[in-house]
Amino acid sequence: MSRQNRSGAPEFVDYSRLTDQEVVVLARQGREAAFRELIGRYERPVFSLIYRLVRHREKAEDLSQETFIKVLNALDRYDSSYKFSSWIFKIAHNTALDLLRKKELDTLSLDGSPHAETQSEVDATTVTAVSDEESPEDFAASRELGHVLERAIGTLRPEYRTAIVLCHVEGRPYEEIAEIMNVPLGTVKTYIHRARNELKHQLEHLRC
Amino acid sequence: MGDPIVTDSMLHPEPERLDAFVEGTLDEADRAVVESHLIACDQCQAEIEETRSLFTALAALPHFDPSPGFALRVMQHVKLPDPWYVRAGHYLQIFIPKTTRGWAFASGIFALPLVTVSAMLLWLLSKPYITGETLIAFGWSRISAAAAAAADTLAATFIRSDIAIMTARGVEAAFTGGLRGAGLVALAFAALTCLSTWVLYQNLFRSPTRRSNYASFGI
Repeated sequence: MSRQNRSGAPEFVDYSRLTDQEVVVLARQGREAAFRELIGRYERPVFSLIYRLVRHREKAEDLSQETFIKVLNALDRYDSSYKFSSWIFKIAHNTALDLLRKKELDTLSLDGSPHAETQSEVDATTVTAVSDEESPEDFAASRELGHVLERAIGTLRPEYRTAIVLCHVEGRPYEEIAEIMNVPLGTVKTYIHRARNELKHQLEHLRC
Repeated sequence: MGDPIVTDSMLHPEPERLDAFVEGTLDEADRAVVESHLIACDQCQAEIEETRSLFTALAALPHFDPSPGFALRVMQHVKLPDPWYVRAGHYLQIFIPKTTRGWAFASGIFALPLVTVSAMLLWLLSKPYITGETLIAFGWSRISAAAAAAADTLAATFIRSDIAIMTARGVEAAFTGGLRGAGLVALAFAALTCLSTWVLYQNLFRSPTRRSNYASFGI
């Protein structure tokens, strides 16, 4: 892979083989390609987490952008003894929570923001899960389940939402989730257990 | 009649343990206890199935994509760190005096060794048994000895280096290979000279494009 660094000299670095920490080291040297690699690795997980928290696409875009700008402009303060993923998710979580506290967006309805006045605003604030790796038959069934599940996640308290998404969608271990949310390990287990119970309760009608 | 006997296998495991069972995080002994309970308990089996279904559904939730151009929008607000030589320049600027008084102080600091050495020389020359000629002769002998030692070290290092070995082989090839060998050596030497000149030219003399067009062989 040949790219240009800031001084114009060609780079021959295969970023896909590097760990997050190694990419951060290159980014600290001013290599733009390393910054883009970090964005590429985390734009979807970070955006998905924030979108599921705030349930508003444009707000989620703005907050994701804010998260990356904060992270990438503060790389020199990143302590590499911690996981980079923990750090970026922590900033994403805090950034989204700040907005939720200010705007109380966590009270949004399941099918869009109550503040939405036009159909496009309703569409923008409705979370729909779509996967393109399924057959049409699977797609119809999974969309129904995915849609109901997304709606159920949307009714959870924000801290339950973060914990359940990080645990089951991102596959993060409990210890890392505790670090991201800045709460004790026992609290994370309680959040996840309660979130699962609430989700089971809300999905009961699908089994009937 | 007394209370019915309650055995371990009849007690339902706590919901957290059932979750841990599905997650596979129970230790072997605990797992065996839960498994033995599940054989006889339809309620807990149903609970386990429900948890498994939930886990599967959650794991199948997709990631969402931000709108196209997201990375570009982020990068417009990111300040790339300066290269090391620019940062070094910033650090060096700290030591450059900003006022006349600062310049005077810096000049004083730099002049101090000169003044000290001059004072020592004057003191030495004031002694009746030291003349200017003997002082120069003493200094010259010390400098010559140091230069000879440095030259010895350099020569020894060169003789042991790869360059010397390669040069010796080149000369040997030139002698043993006759005119053709000498021609090859001359050609290789010319090629290396051209390459060195090009690297020097790219790095030192192409000033208008110097910032954006370094010759680089780094990875």
